[in-house]
Amino acid sequence: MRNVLAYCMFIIVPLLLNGTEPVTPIPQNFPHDSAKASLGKKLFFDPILSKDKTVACVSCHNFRHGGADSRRVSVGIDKKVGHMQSPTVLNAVFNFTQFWNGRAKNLTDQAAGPLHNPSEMGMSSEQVEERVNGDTRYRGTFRAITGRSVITITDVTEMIAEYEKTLITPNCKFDRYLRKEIVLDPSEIRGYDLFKRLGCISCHNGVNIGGNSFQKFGVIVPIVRAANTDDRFALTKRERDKNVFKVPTLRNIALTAPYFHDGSAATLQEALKIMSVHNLGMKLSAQEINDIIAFLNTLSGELPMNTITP
Amino acid sequence: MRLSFKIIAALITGIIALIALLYFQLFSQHYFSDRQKVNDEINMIENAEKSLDYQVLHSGFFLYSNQDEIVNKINTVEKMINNLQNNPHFIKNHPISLKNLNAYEKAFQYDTQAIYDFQTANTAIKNATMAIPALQNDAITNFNTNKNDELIFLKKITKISSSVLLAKNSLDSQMISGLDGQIDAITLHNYFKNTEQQDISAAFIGNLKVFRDFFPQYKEAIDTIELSRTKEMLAVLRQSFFTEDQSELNAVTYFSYLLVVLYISSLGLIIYFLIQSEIDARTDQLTRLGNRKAYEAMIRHGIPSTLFLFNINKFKNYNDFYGIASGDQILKLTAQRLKTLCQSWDNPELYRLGGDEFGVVIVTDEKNNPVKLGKALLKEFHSTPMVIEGIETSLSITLAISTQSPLLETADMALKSIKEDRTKNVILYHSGLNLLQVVQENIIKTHELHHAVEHDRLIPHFQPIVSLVTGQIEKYEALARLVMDDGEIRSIFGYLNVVKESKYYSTLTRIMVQKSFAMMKHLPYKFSINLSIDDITDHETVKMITNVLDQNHEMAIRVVFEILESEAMHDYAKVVDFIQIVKEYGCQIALDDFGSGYSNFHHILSLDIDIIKLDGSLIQHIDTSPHAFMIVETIVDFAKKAGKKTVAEFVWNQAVYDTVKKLGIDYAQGYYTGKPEALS
Repeated sequence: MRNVLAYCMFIIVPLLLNGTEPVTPIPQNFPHDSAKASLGKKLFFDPILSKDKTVACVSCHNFRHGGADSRRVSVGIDKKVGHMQSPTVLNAVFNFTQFWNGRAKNLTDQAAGPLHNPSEMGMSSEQVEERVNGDTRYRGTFRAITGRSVITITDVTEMIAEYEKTLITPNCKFDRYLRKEIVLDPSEIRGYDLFKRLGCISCHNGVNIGGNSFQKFGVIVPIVRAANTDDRFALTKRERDKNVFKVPTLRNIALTAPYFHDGSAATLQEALKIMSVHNLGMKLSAQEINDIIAFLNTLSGELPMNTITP
Repeated sequence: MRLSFKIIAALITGIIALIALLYFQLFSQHYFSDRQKVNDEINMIENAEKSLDYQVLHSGFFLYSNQDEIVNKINTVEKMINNLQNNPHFIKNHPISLKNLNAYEKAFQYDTQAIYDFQTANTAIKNATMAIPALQNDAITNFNTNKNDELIFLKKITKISSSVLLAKNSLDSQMISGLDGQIDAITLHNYFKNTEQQDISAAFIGNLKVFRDFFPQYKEAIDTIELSRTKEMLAVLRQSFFTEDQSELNAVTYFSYLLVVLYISSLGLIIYFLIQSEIDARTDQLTRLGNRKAYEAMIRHGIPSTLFLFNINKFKNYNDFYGIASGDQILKLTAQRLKTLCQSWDNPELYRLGGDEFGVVIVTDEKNNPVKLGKALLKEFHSTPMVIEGIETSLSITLAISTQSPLLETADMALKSIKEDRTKNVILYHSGLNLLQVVQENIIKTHELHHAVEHDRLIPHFQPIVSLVTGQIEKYEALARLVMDDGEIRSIFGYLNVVKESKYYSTLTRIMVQKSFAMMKHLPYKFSINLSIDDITDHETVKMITNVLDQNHEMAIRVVFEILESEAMHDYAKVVDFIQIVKEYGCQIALDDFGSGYSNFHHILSLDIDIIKLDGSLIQHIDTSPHAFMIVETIVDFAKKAGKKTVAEFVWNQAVYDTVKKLGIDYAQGYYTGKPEALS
């Protein structure tokens, strides 16, 4: 009887933990139009898209910092300081929505956001169109693609979005482990195991290890909310949406410090400590932190140089 | 109806049918592909929704799951909605469905929000559900059960734990209604001996608060998802789509009916035209009788029949005399009259078989003698004169009857033979007429003649004409000969009737003239060449003769042209002209075959004739026939008085020779004095 029960437990528990891994590897390619993408790349690196021509997309989505900003919050035109940490552009195509609060449904919509944000690039649609139409480098290339002589704002954002589809990072150590090509170090394995056992996986799952649901920051121990935070509440005005954000991807997380929506955690250790206390209600041991960080380090993937150099 | 009109009408109907067919194909293809596309997209929405339900359930049940699946399904539904909203066919033809789709989209967006809320609450609650038993376990190890207050704490958290888990699994908010009080109770509990106990308690309270805070949202989201009406709305959408689709389908169906009608009518039109033109092709437009083609089609049925072939005598003369319009009138009246007259016969069928020929076909009937029938009909026909343009005409008809296949050919041959015999106007074809053989021979002869002309095998032979005074050859008559392939030499005589009917008549004359001149050039003799009235009246032939005379001027005095008298000597002036022309060159003229058919003493006197050639029929038996002798004696006497020389033809033996000599004829010609032969 006891054996049968033990046997049942042996069957049921793994079953409840779900048979398949809740994380899937990044595909080698994402379908895109290479002509548009290559045009989008030019725009991505081009500061003429900002009012004073000092800021380009790449300014805050820096490939040396995992496609994110190493500054606590982004700095826009006229050295204006924002209030959100810029999320990585890498693998953004796999996010279910864009921005911390998911206010953009897709990459094209997202691309318009910073362009029009007065403290980021500060351009109206008309200004963007005027700039790009007046630029001899762009007119021919756009016409070849769109068949129209006039470039519109949606043409611009569409090209940028197309480029961003190329910014995926396949073949990280963990993906190769998932594909059973390699084995992980014991510490990394322990880290992944903890990641699942402690419940991190509940929010950070799927191809992007995050980016597929909205979750509250500070579920167990609440976090003080800054009044100007762009959380879900800023969008829905529902009390329950305060401090609710789109779960950020953990892909390339080792490269994208600082962390959180406000860049309040400078290091992974710090971020883990805050996250475990506020969202899981527990303190992690030094060993646990080391193991989880070892796991997180396996999530940095490959990005071809020609994709990320202007 | 004109042919071009028929072709254009058939073509236009055909083209319209074709265009309609192409349009229909395009239309139906679009219709079915659009329909299929919309149907597929609705199906995909439905499947994605089902799948989404499963994924939500899955994520609620398992401790963790890949939430990408939920996102993917939401994306699929949104994409399909978007596709439908941008499908021009759907927008245009399915306004009600579009409205239903938009309503569905709204409901689905509402559900999506609920799913997002569910994800948020579900994660928090699941993590708390995992944490609570773990914390309970930690508490048991860190609290001393022997100490009363610590045991109370343990009991409290155990009680709360079980109610929380019960609430989660029963989704019953009542189960956690007292949770606030209980949380307060353990929060106020401050007998903790160490930080571990404090931490555990804090964590436990934190997790309980998660339950308390997220449970309403959790339940609300689940209720919303559960009560979702999107599936019914989708069913309504599908229903409205098919209702709207049905009316479109009806249009397709009606159009296909129209197409079939159009197709059949164009086919019908063509068939109508075909029948019309077939009927036209078999109908004589003038008399509305069946024509030759209709006759042949009837004959192909192969019923043993009798053909009565009627021919209007000298119809050409009527045509020439009264004009073509009156000629047509005659044909019409004749047709009517024949039709009326043969009405009493057994099922007669009347056809117009040629310009002036009508045929009546009846099934051969042993009881009635066809000749009797025919004679009776002709008698009736001729009894009343036909009135044309107010003038009574003595129109007469000749009838040939045949019961032997091929009917028309045999009747026609019989008709030809009877035309030569003016005493009869009805003939029944029988094999004894031997007409068929004649026709065959004519065909062979025509070929032989053609062959001879083509291969230069027509040559003159010369028959000597002997002076009855000196007994010496004085001249020769050129006679045409055919050299056959095997070297056999044939007289032209057997071919004359063929020559007359063929295009070779003038050719023959030309060859004879040219070759005779060439052969006689270096011989001292006079020679004669036969010419017919047709030759003399033919401008080209006369020109040819004068050319030859011009080139051989010195030979002209040696040349005699023998002219054959004939019925057609009506172009008298031309004959006179010709004689005058050749006489100026020094030629002589002989009147040939005098004493046969058309002999006319008047001609001897009025035309400038030098020589009279007495026909063989008179000479042949002159030694024994006193009758012939008497006629010849008269002619010779007349000739002498008129100062003409005479030639006896057909002198074939001594007796004849002696007789003609005794009669004082100037020359003799015949086998006795010399056969025709090639001169070298």
